[in-house]
Amino acid sequence: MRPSPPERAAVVEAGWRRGAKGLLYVAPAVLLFGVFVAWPVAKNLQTSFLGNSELDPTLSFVGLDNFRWLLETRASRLAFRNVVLFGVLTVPVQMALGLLLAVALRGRGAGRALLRTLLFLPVVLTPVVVGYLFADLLETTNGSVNSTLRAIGLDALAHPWLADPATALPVVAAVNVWMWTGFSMAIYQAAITGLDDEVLEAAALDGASRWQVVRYVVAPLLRPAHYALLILGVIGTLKAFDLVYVLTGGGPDHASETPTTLLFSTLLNGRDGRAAALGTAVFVLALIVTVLQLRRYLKEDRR
Amino acid sequence: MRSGRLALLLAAAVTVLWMLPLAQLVTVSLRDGGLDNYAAVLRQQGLGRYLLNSAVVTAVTVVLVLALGSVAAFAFSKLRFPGRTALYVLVLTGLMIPVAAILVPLTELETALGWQSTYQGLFMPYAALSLPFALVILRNTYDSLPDELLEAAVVDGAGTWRAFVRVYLPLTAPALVMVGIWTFLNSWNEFLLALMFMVSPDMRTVTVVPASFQLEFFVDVPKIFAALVLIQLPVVVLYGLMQRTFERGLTAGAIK
Repeated sequence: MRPSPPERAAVVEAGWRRGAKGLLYVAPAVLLFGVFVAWPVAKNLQTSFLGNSELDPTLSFVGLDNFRWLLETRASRLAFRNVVLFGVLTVPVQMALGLLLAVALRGRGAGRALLRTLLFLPVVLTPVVVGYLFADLLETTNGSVNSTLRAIGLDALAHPWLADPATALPVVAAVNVWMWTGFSMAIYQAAITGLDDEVLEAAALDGASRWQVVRYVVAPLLRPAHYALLILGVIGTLKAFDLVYVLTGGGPDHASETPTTLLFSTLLNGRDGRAAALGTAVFVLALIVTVLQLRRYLKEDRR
Repeated sequence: MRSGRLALLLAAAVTVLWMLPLAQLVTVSLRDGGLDNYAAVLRQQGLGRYLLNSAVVTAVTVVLVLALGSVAAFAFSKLRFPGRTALYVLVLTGLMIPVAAILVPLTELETALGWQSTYQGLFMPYAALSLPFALVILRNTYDSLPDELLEAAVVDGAGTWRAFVRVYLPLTAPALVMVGIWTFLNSWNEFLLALMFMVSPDMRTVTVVPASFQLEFFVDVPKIFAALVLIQLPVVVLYGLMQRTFERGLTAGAIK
């Protein structure tokens, strides 16, 4: 329906006014984001090339010194090794467990709904609270885990879980799996509900076992869910802080140090240039993940 | 069918295992004194004050994100203006920025503004960090609403602002609830910035409190656990009331 000439003029005039107005509408959000996120990102990049205020109050330009520190210090090398290890120990495990649970709990029924609700519960909990809870459960002498092991005669398995450099990081990873498996389950759940029931029935009629149905029919159709969880898992791993800080503080002897826990302690020690360099490194890694993700989007668009 | 039963049984077993730590949390929190443990942490340790701090910071963050996010999402979706695409892309980059990448300058900024140990010192960065996600979800919602609503409203003599508030905003209610829940959880649960900026003891938010409680109570685990349960209560109650919305809100950003 075309507006009659006077109305048209009104719309066009309103359109012109809208042109100036749009900027006013987005200004508060853009300003807030600019001041508290965008500018700090740029400023952090600059700071990572400057001296550390505690050692060098004039903050002179030090070139790549902070990045050299990053590459040569044991704590920082461990932090970046740990972040890879942490990702490997958590992301695939959460995804596999979440998928199995989503398949097992597929369909209707109050019982299934209740189980799904309970399994998703850890996702909404406060990481710090989860950290303190598990720190107590895993405590060496009186923690529930070791007490239970001793009570059922498995004394040999009782272990200083968080105090032993060999187990600290894997145990933090396990707590992370406890928190996030429900999230993977929910994502897979959504993907599975989107699956055509007829496809599954046809496969079953052809004599495929439940395992074969999962392996050859369901799994490939779940690819977008896999991909989303992989990306979110990697970004989440790069950000790892709360659980690690509360459970181990990055210790013992940096065995569970992550870039963010190291950044935190480095900054508190007044080594802001080094801390900024750590931040820049984390930023660049996140950027690489995002670029890979974007490339994939573009590829899929072309198909 | 039989394998379906078995799978369900296994899933039930996993769920029981998964719930054990939480059962332990509640059980231990009631040991030696029952509900008195809760009264003690509220009365003697002033946990109420910390819950209030978290409530204020979280409430203002949610209101800021929904208000600024809605106005901006509406404009990005329905209005034409110079720099529209560039500004939208700028804010979207925020989706991938880890807090670690801005912690050092943010600390300097808070000191320069004198905002350490103030509410705005937390809710401003919280809102800024939540805006990118809010904008994506809200803009998608506005994109799905017809442009004709605005044109009709303008033809009727209503201004753009009235069209936004009266016509569009009510239609985005489900998305607002989703974004609200997501923002609420992020800000209630946030730890790193709160630990860094809330220096003065009476301004602490609930995530920073357990560390100091641990120092004071030392081995009085039941009281620490009672505090943990109280910190967790608002989140769990809300989740109990609207599980589906939580699930949709938290997984919304993932698939797309």
